[in-house]
Amino acid sequence: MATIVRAPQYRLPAWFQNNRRLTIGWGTTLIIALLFPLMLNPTGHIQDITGDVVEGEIYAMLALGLNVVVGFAGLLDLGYAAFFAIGAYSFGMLSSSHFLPSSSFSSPFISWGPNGIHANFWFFLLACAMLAALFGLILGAPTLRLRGDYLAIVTLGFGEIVHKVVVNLGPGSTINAFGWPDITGGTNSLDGIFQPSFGPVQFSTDQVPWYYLGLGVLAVIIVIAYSLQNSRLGRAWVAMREDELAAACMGINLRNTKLLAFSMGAFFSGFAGVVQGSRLTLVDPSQFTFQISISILVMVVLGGIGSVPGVVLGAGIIALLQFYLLHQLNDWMHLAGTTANIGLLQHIDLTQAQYLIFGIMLVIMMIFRREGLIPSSQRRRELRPADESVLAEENQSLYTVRSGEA
Amino acid sequence: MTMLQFNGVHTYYGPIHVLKGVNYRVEEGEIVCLLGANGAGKTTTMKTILGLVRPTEGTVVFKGQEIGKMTPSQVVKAGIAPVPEGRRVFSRMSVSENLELGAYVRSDHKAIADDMSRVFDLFPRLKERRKQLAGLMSGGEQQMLAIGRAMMARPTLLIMDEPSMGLSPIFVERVFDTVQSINKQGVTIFMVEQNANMALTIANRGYVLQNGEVVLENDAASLLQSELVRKTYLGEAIEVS
Ligand SMILES: Nc1ncnc2c1ncn2[C@@H]1O[C@H](COP(=O)(O)OP(=O)(O)O)[C@@H](O)[C@H]1O
Ligand SMILES: [Mg+2]
Repeated sequence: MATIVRAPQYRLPAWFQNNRRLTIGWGTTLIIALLFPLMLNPTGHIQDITGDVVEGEIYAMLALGLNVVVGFAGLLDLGYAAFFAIGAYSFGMLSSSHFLPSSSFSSPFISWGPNGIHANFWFFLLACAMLAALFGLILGAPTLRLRGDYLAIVTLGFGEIVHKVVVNLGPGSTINAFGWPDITGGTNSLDGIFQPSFGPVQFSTDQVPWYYLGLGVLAVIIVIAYSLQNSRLGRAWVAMREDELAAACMGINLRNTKLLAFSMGAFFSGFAGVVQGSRLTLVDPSQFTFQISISILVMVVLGGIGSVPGVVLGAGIIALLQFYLLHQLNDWMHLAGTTANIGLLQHIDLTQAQYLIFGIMLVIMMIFRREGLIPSSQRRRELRPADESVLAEENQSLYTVRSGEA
Repeated sequence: MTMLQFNGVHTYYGPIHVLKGVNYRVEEGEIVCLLGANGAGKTTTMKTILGLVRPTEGTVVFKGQEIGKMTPSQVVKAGIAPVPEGRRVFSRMSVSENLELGAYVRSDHKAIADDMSRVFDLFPRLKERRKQLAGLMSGGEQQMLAIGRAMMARPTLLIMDEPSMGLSPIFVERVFDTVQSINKQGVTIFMVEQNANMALTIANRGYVLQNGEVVLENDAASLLQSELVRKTYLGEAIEVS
């Protein structure tokens, strides 16, 4: 009687043994990540580069969250930036000089007075993520009966609604006939967000502490993502994604399973929103547009839908492209244009063509590697069911970017 | 003891009236067979038991408990496992993953492992192919998997929707043999079938459904002799009307 039922692996050493490639991959990544700021220090460019890398960490948090919804549960969400906004704005309103209460109050979690409201960052990191999760439920509830295209349309609408609400609850509003007060700062953005401290470390414009904070949050999210994937809930998501009726026949509660997908996904982006808001000390509607939702989706698809290491890689690639490669390419083009005296090359601005480039990347992916750069074992089977070698492979691994099918 | 009872059940799909006041009764330990032409309301009956369709009128009672308003997951937890129409195995999952999902509502890991080996005893073919993707198996193998998967929930009542549909004669026979041996293990069976001959051979009793109404109900042997069944389902005296 071979071991047939996968017993839950709570003994960690055994888990590492069984997932050796995964352990080595993540272990190496973690070590490099921990040493990263030290490695860059001699160049003197550390500050601007680190800032971009933190931006990349935030992308990775968002991609991991969207991956729960789109990858694990198979529910297409085109308005995911809304939850990012909810995390950022809720923390921004609760911990900034945006509101100046006339009364005073003090407690370990939150205090306010004429200088503004001060919320405990560490507590509200969690609380605001939970608020985003609650909004995940609110989005999920009316979409329970929708599938595919219809679901995508509703989530798209939700993303737009949140964006418009944020714009119109502020001074930039063009529809404020009722004279409501400035709540979100609108297009003027909500600024003066307070930054946390941790023991002797004060978080401010120095990006290195933010980098480590982002790394910590990301590590927590990655562990949660893996646990979700291997949980009973994770199996229910896979079943539901494949066949809702059959899943219902197994006794899977479709309503709860879908709602949990939306709310877990939103939860992760709440973290990202709090970190981003506090780091930049301001939040602005332009950070939460439809384009952001699409960018996050591109990270997920590029890296591998449903694959935890894949979407982290996808986020890294998009960040690298946005913050570094496009600028570099621009410089080279301009240089080439000047040298060869070609006007077009001198004036081209690739950063403006970002979405065109994303689009081309996706088309290429769909033709040559639909399952993404690091496919999840499940997706690989779904897209290439006839590939027997896939079946032999028990564990998905971190660095099989080009092994196997290539 | 009465395992399952429909008391004057009506169901609708929007404006379409499907079940029009049906009464069924399934006693513990029985194999009961539901016959009927396409569109008669057989699958709707199964969906009603499972809670996928709600009766607008009448009650569905399982072991003395009204289940008409329960959700599918509550129904499965109460001890009813379905073998859905068209098998609906998880085609991109392996055989053993399918079986694990069959035990989704249970948490007794030790007993689940035992049940899985029992399913493999019942279907040695599934054991051989336990790492195989379900979607790559033949229709007959998939039907075995669908039955095995339902058994993984340790049901007291197994409801099957046309388990022999689309299978080659040899598999049809295997399916009915299996149904019989599952029944001998103490599982009550309520089965929809178009293959009236085979179904009535193994069943205790049967119902004939026409346009959402039960038009005939009797023990299996009598049904096999009845004119309606012989004409309509056994292909005797083909009439074009
Ligand atoms: N989801 C649905 N929406 C509307 N009508 C349906 C639906 N499912 C079944 N029907 C109709 O209900 C009737 C009974 O269907 P069904 O129970 O599937 O029949 P059977 O399984 O006996 O072939 C048919 O007329 C069918 O067209
Ligand atoms: Mg049917």
